[in-house]
Amino acid sequence: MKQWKLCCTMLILAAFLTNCSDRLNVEDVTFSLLIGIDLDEEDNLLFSISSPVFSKEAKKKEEDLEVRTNTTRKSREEFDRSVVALTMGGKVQAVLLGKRLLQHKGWFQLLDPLYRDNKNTVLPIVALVNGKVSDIIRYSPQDKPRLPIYLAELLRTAHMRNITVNTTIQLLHRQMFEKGMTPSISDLRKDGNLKVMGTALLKEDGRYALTLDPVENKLFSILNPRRGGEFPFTVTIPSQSDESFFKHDKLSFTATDISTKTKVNYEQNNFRFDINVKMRINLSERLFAFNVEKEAKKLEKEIEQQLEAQFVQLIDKIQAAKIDPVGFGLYARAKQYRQWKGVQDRWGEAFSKADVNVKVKVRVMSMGATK
Amino acid sequence: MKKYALNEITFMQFIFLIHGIQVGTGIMSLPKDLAEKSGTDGWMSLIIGWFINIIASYVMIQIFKRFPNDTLYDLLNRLFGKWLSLFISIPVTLYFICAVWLILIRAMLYIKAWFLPQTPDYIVVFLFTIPTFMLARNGLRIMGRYCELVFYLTAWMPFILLLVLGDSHWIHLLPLFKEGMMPVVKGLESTIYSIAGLEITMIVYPFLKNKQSAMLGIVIANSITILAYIYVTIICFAFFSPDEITGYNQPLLSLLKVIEFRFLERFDMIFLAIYLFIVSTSWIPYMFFAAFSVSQLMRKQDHTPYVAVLLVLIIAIVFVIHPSWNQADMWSKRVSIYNIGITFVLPLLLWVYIQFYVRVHKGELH
Repeated sequence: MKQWKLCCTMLILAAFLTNCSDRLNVEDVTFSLLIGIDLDEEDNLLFSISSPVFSKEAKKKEEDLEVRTNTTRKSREEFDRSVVALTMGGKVQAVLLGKRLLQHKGWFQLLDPLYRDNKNTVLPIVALVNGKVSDIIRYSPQDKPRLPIYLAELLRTAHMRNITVNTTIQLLHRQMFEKGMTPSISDLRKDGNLKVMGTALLKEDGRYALTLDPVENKLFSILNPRRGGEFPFTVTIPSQSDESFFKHDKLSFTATDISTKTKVNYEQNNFRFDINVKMRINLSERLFAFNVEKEAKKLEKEIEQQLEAQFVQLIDKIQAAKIDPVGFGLYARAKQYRQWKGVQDRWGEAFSKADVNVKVKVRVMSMGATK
Repeated sequence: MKKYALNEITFMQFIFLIHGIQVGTGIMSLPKDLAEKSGTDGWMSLIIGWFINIIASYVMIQIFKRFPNDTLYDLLNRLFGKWLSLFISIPVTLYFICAVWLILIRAMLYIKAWFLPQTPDYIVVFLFTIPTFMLARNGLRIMGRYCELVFYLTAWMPFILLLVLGDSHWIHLLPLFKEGMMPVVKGLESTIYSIAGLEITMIVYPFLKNKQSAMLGIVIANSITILAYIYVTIICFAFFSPDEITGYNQPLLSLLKVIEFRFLERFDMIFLAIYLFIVSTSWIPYMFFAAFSVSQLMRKQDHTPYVAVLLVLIIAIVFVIHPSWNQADMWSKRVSIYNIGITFVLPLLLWVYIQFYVRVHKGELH
């Protein structure tokens, strides 16, 4: 009797085990590895995907598709009409946004399904395309791996040398919603090859503001508390300039152990930020003769002055654009909450009036293998 | 006269029973609920919640110290007689049934949203009911053992969250007491649902092997729970911006989505699947208490048939109304008000009543 009961239970349970009606075979899936959103000449929304083709007969390694529709989710339907299999967004590597798209506010809402649908990943990198998105999506270089892999790898390694930022979809969500900072995404361009231009800074409402070149991006990354990767710098040492053809007044070094301290004060109706940057440097290139053993202090001083001047330029640039990509607003909220509360909804403007001072402290750790 | 000697539970089992019941699905949305009410100061409400829980359990222990062999139902019978006691014992029973229902529905909704979007809801609930029946038909000792086992098996899970520390911004938590004390007190409202579970002390007490350490057990269980909640809340607050966190329905799951290894993507899925065990230590004991309460009302010894009846009833109701997220949210708000009545108001009234009762019936208590 007892065994009979057990058998019955097992059989009933087994009936449910086969309930996999919503399974999906891998052959029936088109993985969109790249998603592109752009505006065409008549300001119609343009969605494009690039997905790998797993077939020996196919000559190209991936298939690209472009549709005109008005939402991201609807574009999936359009894609399904023409690609081999069902489109899936779970493996996206990068999201490319056209520069024309970023001229208008409200584009961020188009990314809604990436956050809402649990099946989607939140880790693809976001990049602005200076030019047409379709040019990049259609690009299939002969000497490179599949475009999505190549692109994702390019952006990732560029970030390791701090040429650009590494803003994922998840991070973009934070930067868009956080009142104390403005978004910053990678800036990409195709002339012949793909080229990382640096970092595109966006305004509070998501519109494009300006682009930081790789040198500026390194300074920007130093101010950012989430920093990582290498920081190679080349600076001009004015005291060593000579009349020779090559102008041997350049010095290169790699900065390590960077730390920053940010102080916030509120004086005369304006915020005042004092940032102390400390770094240790290792020389990697020196074109002029110099006795580092004896005159290290002098060298440190000159490097500090050079870096500080560069910081001033960077800060002026972002203040003029009324943006705060570093997130000084976070410090303002943490330290000067009362004042912050009054300006939190127009932080960009308040920050543009703020007084920002960057002090750099450099210590030469090593001069390398030669004197 | 030891009516419940057969099912005595140990000190550890008591701790993990309470802790298991307290930690359910609430933890997924707790950071958002707190952030909505009290911003990044929300985690402090949890400390107040802890304190209130300790007071409530102290009152309960004071009541049952005098009647060490009584469950709540025995006590009510003793105090108010066979029929009058129904006025209290029926609502308490209903509360347990509502609690099972709510937790089962929530677990089902999570499973449906994350794993099985096409599977009918009643089948998911049916699959839940099989282990529920196997466990809940047994005595309290089995509940205790199950909760203890699951605790040990899942104790590694909080450490997974440490992987996101690299992307955290502790500066979000400053300044403390942004808007003063009021928001912190307001946040208490959303913590009540998550820290519910103490009320079972009123039934478990006579089953305790070591009654002197009951209070200590409750304090430890409560502290583990609140520490887990504070830990999760603070990590979520540090990871998400205070302005964005209210936009997520389940911040904890959205946070887990970010964890990715070269060999493993979508860690949130795995986490949620294993987390189901922790949720089960909430609904299975509640199921036991619901069936136990019904059997007490019916004045029967064996509660097994009522487990089956309640489970079938739950599947049937799911089949008819197909609960949605919005409904579940609405119900959990009501149940948490109900819970305030059972956990905080009822013991207080009982305690006051007993003060009089003891004076009147001096000497004939035992």
